[in-house]
Amino acid sequence: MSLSPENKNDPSTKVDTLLASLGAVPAREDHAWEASAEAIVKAAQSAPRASEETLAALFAAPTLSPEPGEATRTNEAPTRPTASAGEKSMSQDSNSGSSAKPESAPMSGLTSGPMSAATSKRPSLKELAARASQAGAATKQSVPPGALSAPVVGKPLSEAPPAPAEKPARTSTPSVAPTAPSPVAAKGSDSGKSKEDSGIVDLNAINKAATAKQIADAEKAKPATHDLGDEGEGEKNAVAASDNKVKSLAEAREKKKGGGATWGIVVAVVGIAAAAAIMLKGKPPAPSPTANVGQDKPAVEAPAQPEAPKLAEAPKPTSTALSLDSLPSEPADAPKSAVGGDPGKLAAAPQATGTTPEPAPAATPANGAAPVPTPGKVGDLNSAMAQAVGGAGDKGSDGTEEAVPAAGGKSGGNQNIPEQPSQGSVASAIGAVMGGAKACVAGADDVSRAQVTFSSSGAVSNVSVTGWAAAHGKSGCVQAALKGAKTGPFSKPSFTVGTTIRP
Amino acid sequence: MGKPTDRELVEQARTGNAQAFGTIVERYQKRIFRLAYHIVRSGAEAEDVTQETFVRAYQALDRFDGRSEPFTWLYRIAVNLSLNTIRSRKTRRDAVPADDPRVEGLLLEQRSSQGADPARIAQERQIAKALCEGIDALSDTLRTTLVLVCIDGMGHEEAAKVLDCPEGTVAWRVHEARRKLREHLDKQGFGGDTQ
Repeated sequence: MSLSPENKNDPSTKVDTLLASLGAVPAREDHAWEASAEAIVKAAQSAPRASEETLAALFAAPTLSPEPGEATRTNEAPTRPTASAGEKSMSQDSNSGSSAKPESAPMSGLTSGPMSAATSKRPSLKELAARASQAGAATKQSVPPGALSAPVVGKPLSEAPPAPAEKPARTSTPSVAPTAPSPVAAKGSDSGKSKEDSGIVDLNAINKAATAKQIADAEKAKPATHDLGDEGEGEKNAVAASDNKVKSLAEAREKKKGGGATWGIVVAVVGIAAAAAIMLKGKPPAPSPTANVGQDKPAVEAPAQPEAPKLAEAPKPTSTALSLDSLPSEPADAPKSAVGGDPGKLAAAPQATGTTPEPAPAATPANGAAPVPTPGKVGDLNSAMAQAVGGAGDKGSDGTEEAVPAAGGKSGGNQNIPEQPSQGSVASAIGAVMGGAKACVAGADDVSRAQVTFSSSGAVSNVSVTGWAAAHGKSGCVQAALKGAKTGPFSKPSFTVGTTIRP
Repeated sequence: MGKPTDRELVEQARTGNAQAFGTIVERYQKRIFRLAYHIVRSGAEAEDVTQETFVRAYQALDRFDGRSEPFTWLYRIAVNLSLNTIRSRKTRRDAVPADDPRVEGLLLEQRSSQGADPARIAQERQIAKALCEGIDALSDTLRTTLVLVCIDGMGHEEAAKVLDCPEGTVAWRVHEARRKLREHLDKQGFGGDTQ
């Protein structure tokens, strides 16, 4: 195991080489080993038998303290149960609750974070439920079938003064409603099945016993539920809030309702106006479909920018209408000019139509012109895309050779050749011939070591054998075996790797 | 063909065949000694560990169930005994003596493969010493795994059996140990660009 010059600069290889070199058994005479072996056998026969505990401890796995990084990895296992517990409770929350497990409540109680928040909710829910059930006729508990979500959050809100402006709020809330209520609904049914005293059970009972009047009142309270859920953290905030909080929230909601509706209308009007503006601006350059395609990006990023028509002018110099083949050849520049607002260059690009195709790097601003569309199959998007990325599709009439190095830059086409072979390829290459090498040292009482040098072609150029094989004249056999190894080509002049051949 | 396998030898030793056990000892004592030596970093203690390993193995031949290779079994005993030896010490050995046999052994290897160049040998001696220092600075966990895999040439699968841990853990430890060794060599001025 020596440090070949080409490997000296590779610390990783150097360490490996040195470590392998350390594997030499400390020097001793053969007869010393033999004497030692005899002594060991005698000692084994005469030594008092150790206790079973001692032996068991010796045969047990070595007790090695985990490394810091290793500890974090092994800690993943313990955290998983916690996470899964959390997942369960979450899924229970999000599910309809039909498959709720009986221990859902205890699990949620065990977990920290959100679950502790859930525990803190319960008292307030209970209070709310009790209050709601006491309020009975005066309040409005009902749960319309479609809004089963309402009970939990709706309850506190129902206690608040009935919202005067429900209708506008109702119209503005539907889009939000599905998100907030669903967990609430799941929770409600969940808890009901688990027979927790969270108060939700009482609500369900109350809902069933609700009168028509109560249902009507609850209908009024429904929009308030949506709004409360809309304010974020739905159930958490709403349920954890005390009565006073609920009332204040309801008041705030009332204030918000009017503003929300107004904002909704304003946003809708602005949106429609924007859409109309886009439509109007988009029509002038519409003559060719390609122009529309090119206009897509500017339209999105800056709807009212005047560059759009300029961009559409770009294809003009081409004799015919814009075709798809002009697009792929300039994927790098087109977005730039669209965003950077330099349509002049883009417009100049098609003027060069008819020139030879150039590789992608040639399209840099240094050339002063964008890449020219290749004369490939018109409308063939696949070939055009292949050309754009410098693939095999670049095989034009005279640009064939240049297109290949274009992707590799200065590497001269060596882009796919690694600097040195990967460990895996080296291991597999040596592993493939290791059987033959091991056959050479069959019966050996010590390991042999070989230093295999691969040439840049991937073939083995040299094998240096040390250890038992070298001492017993098996070097040639080992060398012959290992010379059959073959790895992929690489750019380094050579690559040396050490391997241990165990009998 | 003529040589019995380890399992056969163990079976024979179980029946009281001392010669079979002696063959096992001869076959593995060098490796066990080397393993112990690199873990305990003392020739005398490594000898003790080697002897103790075989003595304990002999006493527990009936415990060997044949599910694993005998050498895996021996290695595990040796690792446990080596670690016990280290842990029973009152002081930690940090310094690598100039005539550390590991350094000499490494230099011997270097010389055998590239001839004697005094200047180069002197430089390699410094590198070897730095490497030994780096190995000694590793934790028991990393050093043990490194010795098994990188020095003894044991595969990850076998090392995982010896250490009773996943192969991935072995791979991670080896990677970590090598990284630390590279860092150590860099700090000592033996980084890639300085050579």
